[in-house]
Amino acid sequence: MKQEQVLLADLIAGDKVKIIGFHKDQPSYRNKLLAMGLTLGTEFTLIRIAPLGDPIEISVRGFSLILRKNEAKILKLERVT
Amino acid sequence: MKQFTVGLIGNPNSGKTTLFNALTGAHQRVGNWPGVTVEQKSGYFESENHHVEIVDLPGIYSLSVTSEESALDERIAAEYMLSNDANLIINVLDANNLERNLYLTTQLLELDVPVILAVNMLDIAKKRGITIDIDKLSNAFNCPVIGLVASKMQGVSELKRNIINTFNKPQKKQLPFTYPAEINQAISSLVSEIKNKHGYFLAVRLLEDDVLAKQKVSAQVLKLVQQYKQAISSKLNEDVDILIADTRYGMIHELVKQVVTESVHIKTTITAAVDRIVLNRILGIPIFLIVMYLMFLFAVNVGGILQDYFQVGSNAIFVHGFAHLLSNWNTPNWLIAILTSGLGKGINTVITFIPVLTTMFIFLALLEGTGYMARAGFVVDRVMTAIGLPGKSFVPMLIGFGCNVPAIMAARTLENKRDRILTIMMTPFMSCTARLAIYAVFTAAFFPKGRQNIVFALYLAGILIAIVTGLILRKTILRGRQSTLVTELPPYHLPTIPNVLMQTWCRLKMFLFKAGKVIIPACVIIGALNTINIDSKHSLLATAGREITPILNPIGIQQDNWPATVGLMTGVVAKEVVVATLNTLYAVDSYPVSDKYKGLYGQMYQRFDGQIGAFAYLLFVLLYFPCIPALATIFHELGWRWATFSMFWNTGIAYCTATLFYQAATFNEHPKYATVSIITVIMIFLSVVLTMRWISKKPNRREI
Repeated sequence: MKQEQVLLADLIAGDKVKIIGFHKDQPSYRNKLLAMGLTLGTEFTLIRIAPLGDPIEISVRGFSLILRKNEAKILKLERVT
Repeated sequence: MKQFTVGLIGNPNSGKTTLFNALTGAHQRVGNWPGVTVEQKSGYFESENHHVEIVDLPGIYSLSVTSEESALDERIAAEYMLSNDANLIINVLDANNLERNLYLTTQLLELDVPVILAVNMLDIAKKRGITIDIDKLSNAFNCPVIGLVASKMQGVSELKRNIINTFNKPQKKQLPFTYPAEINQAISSLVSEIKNKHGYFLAVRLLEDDVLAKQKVSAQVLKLVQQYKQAISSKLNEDVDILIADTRYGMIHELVKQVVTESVHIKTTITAAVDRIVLNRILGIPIFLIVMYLMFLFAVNVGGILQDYFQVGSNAIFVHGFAHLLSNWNTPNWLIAILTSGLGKGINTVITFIPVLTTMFIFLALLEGTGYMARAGFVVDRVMTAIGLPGKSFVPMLIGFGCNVPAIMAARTLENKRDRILTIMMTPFMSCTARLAIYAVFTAAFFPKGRQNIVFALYLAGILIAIVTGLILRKTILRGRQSTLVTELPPYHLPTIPNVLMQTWCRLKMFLFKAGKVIIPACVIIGALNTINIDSKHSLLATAGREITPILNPIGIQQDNWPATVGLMTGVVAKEVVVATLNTLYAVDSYPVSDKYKGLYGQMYQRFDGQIGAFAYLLFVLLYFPCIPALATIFHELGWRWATFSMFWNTGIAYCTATLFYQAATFNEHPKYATVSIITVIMIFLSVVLTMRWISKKPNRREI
């Protein structure tokens, strides 16, 4: 069964998602994400949202990373259950 | 004795600095990387008849140089690698996070230089039940791997032995993965075109669209790269950079599975448990505020008390003691005056800063060392993005309310140069405690009721002007995209006392010697102007002040209040000097005052135009010319262009703001004059902003 795409902004703490692709814009930002291990097929968990609603903390490859919702939009995600 | 150079590289928070200290001990130097104001630390050790020079490279996750300005650290590291200055590279890895740390390793192995892997923080790994098969790791890359606990000196001597062995007998290292066939083909044909020692590295970097690699090759090669990139992405249905990162991380993931065993699976680490409270949606902001409050409490109570001793003590030695000594040597009086009130006072000014700076720097080192700094950025990021800055810039600005000097230096914690410039340009508007001393005197004289409201209004005015400055700069000469946020939250860590002290000392030393070199001569000049008399009564500075007082008419300073002008001139040394100058000059140039007001307050009451005039003056004092120590620090951090800009911009904006306030508040008294002044000031302001905009639009403008 094909999983539906989800938006980062719709996630809540504890949600687990998988990267299924990248939007084309922001190549240098994408490069940073790739270097941090956010490659195709990588799964990550949303740990928490900052007190003021942005940025978010995710757990990926065993470490914590913070990203802004608006910037991380370039990730195409699907929910992992 | 054989000499060679080793480059030390690794991820941020991998314990690289600790290893650097462990390897070099006291043999360290601090300098700058060529052409940029980024600190370069180097040192050496001697062993087995070898002199080994160690260069500490910036902490980075990847050698990719992207178009973002935050890529400065990556650029420095990559340039260094390509310069062939290093005979050998040590790659420090955090044993607790091998997977992400090895990404940088895969890039380093593509360079034509021997690499030693130093797996650090094995003690913490052990506590977390992580064991690492060092031999397997070594076999996979065919390069030496050493296990370490750098903070406890474990493995350091073995690493030193290995450095010398590897230098004398380098192994042929290998990449334990292959890229997809199409990419491989592209790489090998590019390698034959590039003709560089690091051809393989450059070829991969080019396919990943690396900005630095593009500058290192010919246009012909670039054309070829474009063709390959298009061919590959149309064939494999994905962009090349994604495929390359995929290959690397794919291999690393498999390797880590074989090398790392987690015997016990710990459900929650201490870090996760602490963060549940510290970064809590409700508690996060209060905790952040408490931490910042503690910093001020510490700086004001500990630093503030010591400051008095430092001030009085160094004043006794360098001003009075020095004068006494000179007069014993029959030095002419005018020379004594210049030497003591110039040189002596300059040294005194620098020394007075030591306690507050030390306390602030210790706190800053703790914030960074424990890992809280990144978390503070997380908590307040949203607030700061509203003015186009990352959350981390909040801390330097806050420190600015204590003292602008450590605040400007704290801006170094920002990775992006543009963010750093913006933060530094905004910081001098944060009303520091020295300015509070002036407000105290003026509000006592003019606003016996509601003093706190006046002080609060001044603080707010400072913040407001800082924001306006930030917005204008962002729309003109500091145009560009806002830096993106991809930041690791490192596990909490108890910093070692030597590390905290070392960092504090490094920053303090920079202020004392680098900024001191600018502060002391400036004090000598002002001191000389202040002591050389041209008539019997007034110094050169006082005379000049009297002459230029008409310029300050629009802000409500009348000719008979010329000491206020001189106060502003001496106040550039340190703002609290304003009050002392007024006190002295009013005494010399005394003025009959009614019995109701005597002394300094009485004189002030007579000469300033009541509450409106006093507030306009305070506005000017708040905003104008960053004090010389602050300016010297800006000069050291950003160079003379920005220091000059700050000087003129701040003074200009002070003049405009004070004029607008005074003229608007006294409009009915002289409507014509007020209208002309207000319009003139607004026109000047707009033309400056438009000029800045025009400069920023010139196609061949200089890079900042």
